[in-house]
Amino acid sequence: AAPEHNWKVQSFWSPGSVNMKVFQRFAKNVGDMSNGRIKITPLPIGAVVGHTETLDAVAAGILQGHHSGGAYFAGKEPAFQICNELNGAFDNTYQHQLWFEHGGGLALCRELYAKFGAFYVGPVWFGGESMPSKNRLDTVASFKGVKMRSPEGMGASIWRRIGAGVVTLPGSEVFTALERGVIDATDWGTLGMNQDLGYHKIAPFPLYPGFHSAPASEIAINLGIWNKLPADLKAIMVFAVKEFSRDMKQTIEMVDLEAANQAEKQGITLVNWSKEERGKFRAIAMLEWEAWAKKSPMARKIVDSQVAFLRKLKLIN
Amino acid sequence: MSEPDVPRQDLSRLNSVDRISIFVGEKISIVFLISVVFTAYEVIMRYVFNAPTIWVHDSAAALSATGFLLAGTYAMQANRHMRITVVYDIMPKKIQRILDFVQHIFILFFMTLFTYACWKLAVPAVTLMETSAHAWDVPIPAYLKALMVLASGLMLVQAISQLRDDIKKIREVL
Amino acid sequence: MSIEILTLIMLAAMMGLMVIGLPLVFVTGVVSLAFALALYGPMSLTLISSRVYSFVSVYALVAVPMFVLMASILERSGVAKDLFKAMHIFAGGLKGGLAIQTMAVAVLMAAMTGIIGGEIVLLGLVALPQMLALKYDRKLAIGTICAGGSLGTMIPPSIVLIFFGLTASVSIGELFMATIIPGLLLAGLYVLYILIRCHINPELGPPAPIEERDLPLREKLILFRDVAMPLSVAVMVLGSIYGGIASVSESAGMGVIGVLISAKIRKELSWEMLRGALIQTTMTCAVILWLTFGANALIGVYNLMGGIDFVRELISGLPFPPMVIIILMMLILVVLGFFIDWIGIMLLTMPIFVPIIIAMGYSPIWFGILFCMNMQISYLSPPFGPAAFYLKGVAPPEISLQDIYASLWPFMILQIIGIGLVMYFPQLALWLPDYVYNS
Ligand code: NA
Ligand code: NA
Repeated sequence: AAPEHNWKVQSFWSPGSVNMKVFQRFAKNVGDMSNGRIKITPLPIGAVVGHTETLDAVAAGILQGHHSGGAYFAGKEPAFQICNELNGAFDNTYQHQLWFEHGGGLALCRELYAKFGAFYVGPVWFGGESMPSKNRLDTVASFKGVKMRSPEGMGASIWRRIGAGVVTLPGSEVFTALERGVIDATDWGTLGMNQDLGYHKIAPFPLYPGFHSAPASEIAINLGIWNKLPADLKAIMVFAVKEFSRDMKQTIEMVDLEAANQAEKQGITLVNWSKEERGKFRAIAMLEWEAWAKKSPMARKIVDSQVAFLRKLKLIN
Repeated sequence: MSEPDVPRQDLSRLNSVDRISIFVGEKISIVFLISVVFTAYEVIMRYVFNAPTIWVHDSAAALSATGFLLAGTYAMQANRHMRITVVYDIMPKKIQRILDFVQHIFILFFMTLFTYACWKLAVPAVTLMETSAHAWDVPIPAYLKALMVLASGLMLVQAISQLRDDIKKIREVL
Repeated sequence: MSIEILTLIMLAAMMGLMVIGLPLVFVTGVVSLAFALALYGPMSLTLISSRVYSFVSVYALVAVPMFVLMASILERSGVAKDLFKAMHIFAGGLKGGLAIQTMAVAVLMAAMTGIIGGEIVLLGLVALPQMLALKYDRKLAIGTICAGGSLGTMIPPSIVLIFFGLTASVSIGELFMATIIPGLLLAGLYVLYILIRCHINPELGPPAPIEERDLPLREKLILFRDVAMPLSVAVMVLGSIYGGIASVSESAGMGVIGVLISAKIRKELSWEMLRGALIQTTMTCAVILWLTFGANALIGVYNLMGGIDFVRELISGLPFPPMVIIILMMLILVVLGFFIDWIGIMLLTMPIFVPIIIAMGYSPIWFGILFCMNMQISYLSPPFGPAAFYLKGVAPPEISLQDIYASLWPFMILQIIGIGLVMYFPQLALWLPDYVYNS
């Protein structure tokens, strides 16, 4: 029979990437779990609209859903960045998930997305970002004067705060710029992804495991469509997204693990920060969180909720 | 590809819509020079002083986009938008005039709906004063989306004006 | 309605609108709006404005007007003429020497500009009259200018490769590196062809009279000084990228500063000249960018209709070995090249082709170079051959567009040979970036 719901869901992954394949598995799972009542067509980045415009497209019903990250929409409402992540806040995604499920995070993010015509189904992690560097950068102090590329947003601002010179570059130029020394380091994908791209050859000091960024992307569905869904399909979507997150995280973790295990053989030094330096980084990051909290009432609300939870976890005082 | 040089047109023989299009196109060309100067500044600041700016890349991109968008009407007025004319060229004058008219009907259809689409995009962006959320946190997205309405609106007016000329010319040949 | 039928209707509508001479931006624009409206209703129209917005706000696009501006300023200076004069001393005495010298100048100019058009116009103004005066074979002269002038996007910097890098998310710097050898290979093939033809039949390209070539030493030195200036511009662009000073987009700005300084030293810089160059840049960018807006809108709507999967299945479902699929892609590009320009072709095909190439285990850098070489054919192939259009604009009136097209096919065959070589020996493209980045 024809599906009751035929959804086009655009992601922020490149066609053919490992992440895209996991997303395709999610789409298939939803089809199987709903016995074909929901059919999701998974689309790669930029297929229908640009990656910063998917939320509007979902609200307008051009797309029925998206798989993206809130940082792309922070220009509309700074709180989107906070749902995506507070850089340097949690030690791992498990703690971040605790906040979503037991610290009120999910309800807050759903409230935020609903204001923009979308239902936030659930967070999807894809692992900790690595950071290939030409030199060993293992303390806050070592960042002084380092020229690095970072996607603009909260992360870039924190790098600036600890003394790095942040250079804006299109993604496609990062490799050449790093190789030629226009930049010394780049806040770029996960370890395995970077190894695939050959970053280890030109920047053999990747930060791993990364702590500065492990964002929660999300699945969001057009609010009108969601509200009309029967309870069983809603439950299927919520559970499928949880499974999707697990699958994504573990798939990437395995790829990273393989890359990490090969590192020594390839002459790569994995740079892991001490607890003490992480604490210093977090202390500076907190100044940036506060700066973002001041940007809107909703941002304030979500930052405060997360900070309170971080205190509970004894990550900050 | 590069367009052959743009000859100066005799403005006195053109209607006011044409003159506005030419004015906009010629004046806006300065944005490209400004973005060169900004870029050079960034390279010097970074390479020599190790102090990259936070505003050069965003402003250079916004300046270039401004030039690209507003130049649309300039190219339209000069009839330079790329087309395939193998069939058109072998047609008799009379048919060519009719084809001009048909073309402008299609252009009018496109420009009307496109202007509407730009408007729909711009209203929420301007209402929220959508920013880039970059370190240099200024409402470039709101600005560019609003500019798209202006750029397509100018082209719409230009299309209407050209359609009117077509009708005149058809009357002449028929 | 199935995607197959919708695709056919879409193609037919585009063909129809193209035939009546509607500018391509409106052909793609009208078709995408009409399909969006008919299939998804008025709410979906913002998809088109949204795509234009996303495209136009991409930072890497700042390089486009800058590379065009470099070319426009060069066009207004006497650099081309001086380069040509300097080459004359060396090559004028050879059989076919004037044509070979034209090719050498074309390569040097190509290293300074990222586009085609200006270069063809310049060579058409400087070299064509001289070759015709020497009783060169008209076809050989025309072909040399169109094929040589097209190298502007084959030898770095190249706008085609910038757009390819953006579309395929591969390093523009590596693409620039990779295209150097294939670009020189094409130029080498052209030179070889000219030499062989003129050797067999010296009437095709008689040598220049000795008095034209024999300059006093002092004048020779002056020529060298004039030539050194433009060469420093090329060094400024590529040097700032490979010296680790600037990113690719920024190097375009450095290049403009370079041409401005060299024009100043040559005493050619004036506000009037700069103003003319800027206006021409604006016009060129308007044409290129609006064309992409239309193509971009069309792709968005087609993808929403399920076009990606349809075309991917169509291609990867074919029971052919990978190499045959690549040849098939090349054929599709050639056929599209008859009718539309490179940017339309890129936006239509690359989002589909590149993932397939990667999935088959090939290098997207290598494929980018094949694409770029293929677009060299598209400049020459009728009925939509931009190189022919540009030359027609400055050629003597007795040379018709038909004459020009009739002169181009031997060079198109050489381009196909070049593509074949790079296809069969990927190292022609990949060796240099490998050597630079992995040693
Ligand atoms: Na070039
Ligand atoms: Na062609």
